[in-house]
Amino acid sequence: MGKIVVFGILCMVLIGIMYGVHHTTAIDEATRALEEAKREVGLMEGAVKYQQNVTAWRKELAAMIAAADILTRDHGVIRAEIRGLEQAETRAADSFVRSVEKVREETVGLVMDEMPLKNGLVLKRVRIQNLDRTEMSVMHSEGISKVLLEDLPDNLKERLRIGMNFVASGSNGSGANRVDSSVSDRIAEMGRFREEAPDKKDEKKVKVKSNPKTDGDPALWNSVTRKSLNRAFIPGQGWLEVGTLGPIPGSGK
Amino acid sequence: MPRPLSVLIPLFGSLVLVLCSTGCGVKGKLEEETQQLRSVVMEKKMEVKRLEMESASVGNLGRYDIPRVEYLSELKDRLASLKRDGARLVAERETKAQSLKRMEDELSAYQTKFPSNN
Repeated sequence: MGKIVVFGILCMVLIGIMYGVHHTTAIDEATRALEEAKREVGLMEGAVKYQQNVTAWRKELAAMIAAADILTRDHGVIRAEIRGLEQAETRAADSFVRSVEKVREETVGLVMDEMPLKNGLVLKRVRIQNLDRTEMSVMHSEGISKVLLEDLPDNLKERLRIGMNFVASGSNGSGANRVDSSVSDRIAEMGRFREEAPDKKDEKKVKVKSNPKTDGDPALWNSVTRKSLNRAFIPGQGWLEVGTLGPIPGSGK
Repeated sequence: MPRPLSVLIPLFGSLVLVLCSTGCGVKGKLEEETQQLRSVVMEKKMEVKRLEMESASVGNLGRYDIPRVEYLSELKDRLASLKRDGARLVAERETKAQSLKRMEDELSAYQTKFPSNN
């Protein structure tokens, strides 16, 4: 009986040991699985963080690219507006030049009771005969004189826009003496006025003067709109000498 | 008086049973924890996929498509430069508009003061 009991106990011990080994192995496996799962969680957390960063980064880049595109488009619009303003300014300058040229043309023949000059002289019963870049021919009570444009009175300078340095100052005339370099200089910069450089007319004049015996161009008579003593007026060229001293031949009209 | 073995056998049996039940509890706990972590991993995988889709929905960024640290600063510099250019262009437009207005005003004043017959 005792042997049977001892055998039974031994069997139970054996079963216990086997179960213990089996159980320990199972727990080890479960622990390993847990560790693996923890490691995977760690990796996935890293992956999520990386992907969040990448997504945020790409979104920021996309926003910046879109902003750059919008700014570039806006710049194109502003540049077009600037071009439009420049063209409008060019047109306004051309119009200004034409206005001044017309007024200058119409000034020839102007009659004034008196013309006080900057040099102190006062000319009486003045009639303006001719006008060029530097001087003006006037007929007055004491004969014919050439007057330097810089000696002209301010109101006449303003009218003729000598050097385009005088500004009308709001059309009230109060600023006739005020030298303003804003608009006039802008036009001068744009090279609109003939004072800036001699034009073909001036070249022609010089050429004629250097060769007084030339007969001139008879075709110029076709453009003449007004005549005076030894002078003829051609729009755009002003009063030109007629005869051997000028570009217009004495005979022809 | 009972024999010592008749007492030891039930005691040993009880011990084995206790050990078994405790061991089973530990294993179950570990398995349960592992299962929870696996479900967390699944959630994280889903989140990564969602983020990838969100990132893809941004579209192709051209040469900036591959994220690089220097791209961000490059674009920031470009934006700053564009903003400076914009401010300069706006100022230039303002200047041109003022210049045009001055010229038109002066022309108008001149034509009013010295009307031409032509």
